[in-house]
Amino acid sequence: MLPTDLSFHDAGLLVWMFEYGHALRWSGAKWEWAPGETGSGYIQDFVVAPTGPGWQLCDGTTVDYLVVDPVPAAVSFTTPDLVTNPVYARSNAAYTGTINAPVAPTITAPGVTGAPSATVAVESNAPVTPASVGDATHTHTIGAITAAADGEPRNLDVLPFFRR
Amino acid sequence: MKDRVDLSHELTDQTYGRPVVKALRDLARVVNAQAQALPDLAAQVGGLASRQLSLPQIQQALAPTGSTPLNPPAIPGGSSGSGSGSVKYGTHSARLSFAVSASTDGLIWYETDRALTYQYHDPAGWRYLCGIMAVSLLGDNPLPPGSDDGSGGTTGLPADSSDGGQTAAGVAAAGPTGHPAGPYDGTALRAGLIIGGTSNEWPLLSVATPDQATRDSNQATLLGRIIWHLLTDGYTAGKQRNPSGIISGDKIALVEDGVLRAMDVFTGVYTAPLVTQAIQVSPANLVPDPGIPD
Repeated sequence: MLPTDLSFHDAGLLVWMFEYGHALRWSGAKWEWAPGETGSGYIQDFVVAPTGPGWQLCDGTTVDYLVVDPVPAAVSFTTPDLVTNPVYARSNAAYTGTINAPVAPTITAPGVTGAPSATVAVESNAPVTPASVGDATHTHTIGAITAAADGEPRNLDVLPFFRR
Repeated sequence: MKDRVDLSHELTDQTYGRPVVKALRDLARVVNAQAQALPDLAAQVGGLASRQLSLPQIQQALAPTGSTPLNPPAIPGGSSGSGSGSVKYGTHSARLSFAVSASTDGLIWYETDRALTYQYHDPAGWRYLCGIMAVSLLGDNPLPPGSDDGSGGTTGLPADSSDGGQTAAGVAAAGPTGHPAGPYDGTALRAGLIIGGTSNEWPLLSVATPDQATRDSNQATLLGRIIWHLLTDGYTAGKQRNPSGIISGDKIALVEDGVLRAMDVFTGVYTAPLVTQAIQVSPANLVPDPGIPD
């Protein structure tokens, strides 16, 4: 347990929260992250799984993470299952935990109405008056253009871990 | 330098033909040089002695109370800035209950249960100096590695396996006595044979006991007998001083394969038979001990 009998006499005191791999510092009045600490509550990509108790693979597991404000406490958190459902991160106003379904791109086709074909003079048995044929306009139509929501840009597989 | 021996004429040794006067002059030159050097040396020794503190001065400087001739620089926030020169260790609660005063100004206290170091500044109070305390958010905090576990042992000493488990293998294969066959070879395996064999040789020291005090006494005796058997065989062995400074009651330090190692040789509660083992720990810190002979 964190010491509860601290005062300004103990300012600067460092503790190691071994269950979370975090260092805290007593300011003289409250606990705060120790210098150099990056805190908790974020997801980071790894190429090698981190060791130690402070990281949880984002595979849908529910864990807790450490907060220090207003007082050190554990907050429950269910990691998104990014192993089963690989995703790309998108910025937004708030974290919801919902893995949004892919959305197909909207494709707008240009007009497909053809231009009138050129007038062609057909002449035979001159000097009979030439007759013009094929001077009527005509168009071609095509079916609707669709796109599946399964495209992939270049990508690299990494290990997403949540910092407890 | 002018000679103080005046020889106005020269004589010649009739037997060897040497100039006697010249020989005497040489001798006089040496004597005079020494006569000049001695006062210089005496003056130098006197000068050195005058710059040394007297024994009462040294005693006064090291005393936690009283005026001190070796005042350290004034400490901001301290009243006297004299410093007591005292260093203590103990638990956190022991520090808080320690009677502080102006005479303990500058006292440094290491908390054995928190691994934190404080200094007392009079009259401002205690100030945290350094150290990192390992804490659990909701559970009990672990004791600092190597701290006193209350029974002469230590907690959480980092394990070492440089013996490759050979000492433990020797314990497991030990014969009925601590005198294995064959000559001393300095190996970890033979050390294990001696450790385990000594325990087998003195089985009554390992039986369950009615109380902890009896177990502690038996264990101390067996530890001494193990050390004696190792020494007798040719090993360098002794007691183990823990990082806390306490000499362990359940560990030994010995040289195996030319390497100084520490072994935790006992485990078990007093209500059950004492188990002899050889679990390597570190850091090894040998305290010479003659052991207890057969």
